[in-house]
Amino acid sequence: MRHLFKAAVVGTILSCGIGLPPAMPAFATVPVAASPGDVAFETLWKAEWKWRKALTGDNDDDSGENVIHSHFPDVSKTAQDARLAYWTNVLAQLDTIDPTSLSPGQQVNYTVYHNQIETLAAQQKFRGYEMRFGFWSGLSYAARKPMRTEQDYRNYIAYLNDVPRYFGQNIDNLRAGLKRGFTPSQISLQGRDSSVAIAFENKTPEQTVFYTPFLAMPASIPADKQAELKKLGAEAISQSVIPAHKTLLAFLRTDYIPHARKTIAAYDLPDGKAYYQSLIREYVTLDMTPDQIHQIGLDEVAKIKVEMQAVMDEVGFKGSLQQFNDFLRTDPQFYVTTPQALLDRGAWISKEFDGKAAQYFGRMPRMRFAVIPTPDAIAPYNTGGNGGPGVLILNTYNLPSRPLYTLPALVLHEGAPGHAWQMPLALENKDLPDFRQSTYISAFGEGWALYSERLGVEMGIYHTPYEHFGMLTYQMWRACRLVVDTGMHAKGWTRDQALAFLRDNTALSEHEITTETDRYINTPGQALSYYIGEMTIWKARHKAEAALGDKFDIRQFHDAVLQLGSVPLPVLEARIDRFIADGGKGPYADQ
Amino acid sequence: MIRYSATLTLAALLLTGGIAQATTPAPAATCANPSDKAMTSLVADFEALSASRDPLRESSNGNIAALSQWPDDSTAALSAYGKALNSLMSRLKAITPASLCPEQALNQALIKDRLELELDGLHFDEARLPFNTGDGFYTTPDYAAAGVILRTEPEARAWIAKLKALPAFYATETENMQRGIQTGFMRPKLVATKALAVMEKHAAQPVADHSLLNPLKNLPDSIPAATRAQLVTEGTQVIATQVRPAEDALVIFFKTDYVPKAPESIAIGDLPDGKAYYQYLIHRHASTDMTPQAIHELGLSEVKRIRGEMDADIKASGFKGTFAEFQTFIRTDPRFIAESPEDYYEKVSAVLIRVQGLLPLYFHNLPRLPVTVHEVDPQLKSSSSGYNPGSLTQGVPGTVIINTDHLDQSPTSGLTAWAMHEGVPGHHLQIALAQENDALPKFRRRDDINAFVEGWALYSEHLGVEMGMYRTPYEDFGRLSLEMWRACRLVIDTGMHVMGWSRDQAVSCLRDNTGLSDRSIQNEVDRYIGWPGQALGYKIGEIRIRQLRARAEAALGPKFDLRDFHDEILKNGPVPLDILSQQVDVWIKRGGK
Repeated sequence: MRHLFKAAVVGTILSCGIGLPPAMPAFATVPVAASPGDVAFETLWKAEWKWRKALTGDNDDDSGENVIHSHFPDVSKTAQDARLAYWTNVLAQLDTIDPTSLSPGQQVNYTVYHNQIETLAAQQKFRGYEMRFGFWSGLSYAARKPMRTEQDYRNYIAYLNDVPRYFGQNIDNLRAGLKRGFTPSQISLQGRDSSVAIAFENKTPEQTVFYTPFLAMPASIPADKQAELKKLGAEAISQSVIPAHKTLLAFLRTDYIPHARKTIAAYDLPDGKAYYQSLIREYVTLDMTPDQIHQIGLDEVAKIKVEMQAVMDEVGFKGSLQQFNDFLRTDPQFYVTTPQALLDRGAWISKEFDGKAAQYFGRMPRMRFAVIPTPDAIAPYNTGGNGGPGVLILNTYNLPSRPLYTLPALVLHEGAPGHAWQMPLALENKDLPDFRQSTYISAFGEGWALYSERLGVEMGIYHTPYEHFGMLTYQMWRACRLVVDTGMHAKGWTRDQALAFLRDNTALSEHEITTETDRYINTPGQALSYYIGEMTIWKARHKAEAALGDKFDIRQFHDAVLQLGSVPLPVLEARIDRFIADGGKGPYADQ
Repeated sequence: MIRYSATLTLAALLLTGGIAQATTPAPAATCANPSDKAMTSLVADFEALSASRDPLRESSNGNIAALSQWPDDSTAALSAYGKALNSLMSRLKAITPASLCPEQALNQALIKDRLELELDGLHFDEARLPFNTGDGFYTTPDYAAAGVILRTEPEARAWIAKLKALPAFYATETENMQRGIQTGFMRPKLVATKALAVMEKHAAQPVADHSLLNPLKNLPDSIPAATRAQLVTEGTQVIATQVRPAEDALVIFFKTDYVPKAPESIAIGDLPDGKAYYQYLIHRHASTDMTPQAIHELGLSEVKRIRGEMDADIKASGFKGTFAEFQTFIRTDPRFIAESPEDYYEKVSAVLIRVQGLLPLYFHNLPRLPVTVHEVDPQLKSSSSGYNPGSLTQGVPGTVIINTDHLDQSPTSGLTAWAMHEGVPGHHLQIALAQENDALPKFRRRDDINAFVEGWALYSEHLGVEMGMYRTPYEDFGRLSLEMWRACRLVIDTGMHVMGWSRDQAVSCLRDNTGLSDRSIQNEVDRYIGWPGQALGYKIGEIRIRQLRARAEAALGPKFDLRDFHDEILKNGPVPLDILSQQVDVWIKRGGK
């Protein structure tokens, strides 16, 4: 379950020789006057940031603002090469700045920024864009953005008419990847072409998801204008969007999927060992080996099993964990029969959290979220939910695989206090430089979201042993990822071994086990970020609790963590050391 | 409707929500001439005076001394209060409005309005009526217990001291009511009887389960277990030896004295000086000087207009039958009845969540405090559902309060409009934004101007139309039914209190025109009887806000941005309607930015 804005992207980075990160900076307690180094650093990042924002225009944009884009970004080879040159140059200039010459607050910014640029440059260098399978799903999300003005609609129509160009460039990129064996594993692509087909087959333009914004238009747009916009929208869909989807579908069916690579391991790609290690660095933000992570995974799985057994004892279940999981997978008491019922329950859980939030957080975001279903076109292959600024998305496809006993954990993770809480807080924190408001680091964001699930225990969100077990099974699932991801990519595990390991240890439905495993195959390393991130946050919290004793205030601690925006884990650890040194004072004077 | 700690003085009508900062922020740099400085100190003194009248709010701000106290409505305290108000009024009148910067001029106008209301209230000696329908001094302890979180042992001890002070609080209120008996200034028998029923319920609670012990039973683990147990034991003893006898005495006083002597007439206009008092209540609650007759006429015209819109919805739904048959259908058809309390919570939550997703399209400024949904406390079941303000500093969310005791009488067709009224963008959005607005003086952050607050909430229901919240003719009919209900209030409140209407006339007016359930209708009418004028604020306030919006749209044309308009309405905290109009006019002149 990834946060919304990464959901559409298959991230890929090849191995690269990135230098060691600069030494961890101290955290300033008082603002310090800008040094000459500060000025150089600010000039550099501000110019780059402006350039970077001008590149986007697609819906992977994390800005969280309701900007309706009029075009997609240029993703051609030429544009990609230009990006590589640009970021490589920025990185070189960045390395001429001595971090110790910066004021303490800027040292943190520098560390975060350096990590960002390294990652961006590495993604370009190793041509991750040549494996961007699934690039089309961003379009379904764009169709769900609320539109307010006539200009919004005109932008959207232009955006629809830009689809053929954008799809064409992406297909060229995929073709280049195919040529050098740089593709997702074939087994994980089986049936995935249907997410393209479902968008348009047997549908009039008005029945497609792309037409959604025209179904209910704001009353402030006059009726004759509405009619004109509707006509233009339908034309764009029939003349641009649908033909582009047809071309894409043909390409996937006849060229891409049949010729995709047969292996599953990252290690099986050229220079695969270094490649996988670099992905670990990107997603975990710590230098750990696959073996280390694998072992942590096995240890954690064993610990969570003990907790699970305790729940089974509590409800008096006589039988094995697997039998208990079977019971949970099949008993009707744990399932709803209509999509709306699932959404309504998700809303209620969110409101229960809101009832307790102020006791656990001093600073809360102004932007709250709606609960909406996953778009039909991607629902069959998407996870149980996604979350981001303004939305909690619940997958209502195949309801017998969407149990209620895991719903509280899912809602805490994707909604509040997980993604749909953490991300707006960062966006609204205008004290952070722009590049820290809207950027996303998986180990921090997913670690926080998984921490949020277990936080629900002390918040009293889990009302029954089954719901508590649901939380545990989600913990287990993410602990299993440590085992399975490293197993398949570095230790020679087969897909069936991975499936069996998940089946034996989690309560995931068979449907979820398959989509999950294929996701790990497609995005090596990404699935490691959750549990390692969570462990780091708990470790920091326990350290602060032990050091501060009575002075530990959970609200101040959470404020200190979330005030950071999204940072590599070592920055988080350093911040909590500072928090302890400051006697447990949070970052906001008025809390 | 918002629920306050419920004694009827100004101070108690101020919201109990927490305030983020302890000091009044310095006004903008331009507010620095001698008059502005005189206003700054006047604001501070006004706030201190209000604070001294409301220990419940003060304690929610972390004042431990106030935590042990109840409001003091003794004649000595009220007389001192009157003197202090007059002194503030003299100082205020000595400052020429034209010499003030705009912010301070607004403070002056707002405080002047408040001082006048308070002095007039003392003039009518309204302390003789310390309760209305469902709420009053006798539910104040329930609200105090539900709203307090005790974090330390000294706070727990202050709470025990407060329990010990309860008999004196009840005794003072009883004296005030005895003065009411002597002067014939009493609530009607119907209202007094309902109050007695709640008092009897209080007195019947087993001592060990008394709701006033709940704050002590929920002490945090940071206090040693032995100490916690000791505190509960001490509290229980105080309940047994002091609180219970006071509760019993109150029941006896009502049973043998107040209820038998209470008037049969439901009209406030029939009390001594009652007509003038009603005009005063109109000014306080509806922020207007319209006569009861003019309000009555306005109500009738609104009823007619809304009825037309309701008929259109019935037609759109394809229903074949009369208006009355449709009313019955929408009150009773199983599709409009929630299956269980859980089902009801989910549906209310789903509405709030849908609105949340749309808010950024209609507002720039949103509050940080979340809003949640919760069942009404068992002790407070007799009062209606509504909204409880929260507090960022206390860690208490805003809460939409639900009563699921009679789901068969709570058709879900009106639930969308209702949740928007109580939650977002209604009470929660407006109140939390004001609470969190550090730029305002404290009194404006927590102020309650009924016509503004309820007018905004009713406006919010209507805003749901353009937000696309009403997905079926039934849901829209549910909204119109609520609007009709508020239009009927203009007719009924004035009708019953000064135009000789009977209770039955009021009931049939609601039954003929709204989709409300029988149970709601009975409760509503009793509420108007026991709380004259309060029900007028909704429609009067909403009409004014819609007028201001129409005026701004016409004046600004394409430059009109709805988000800016809403921010403008809410940015000053609650203000009387005439002052609101002046503020919006200035905003229009500035080009609506």
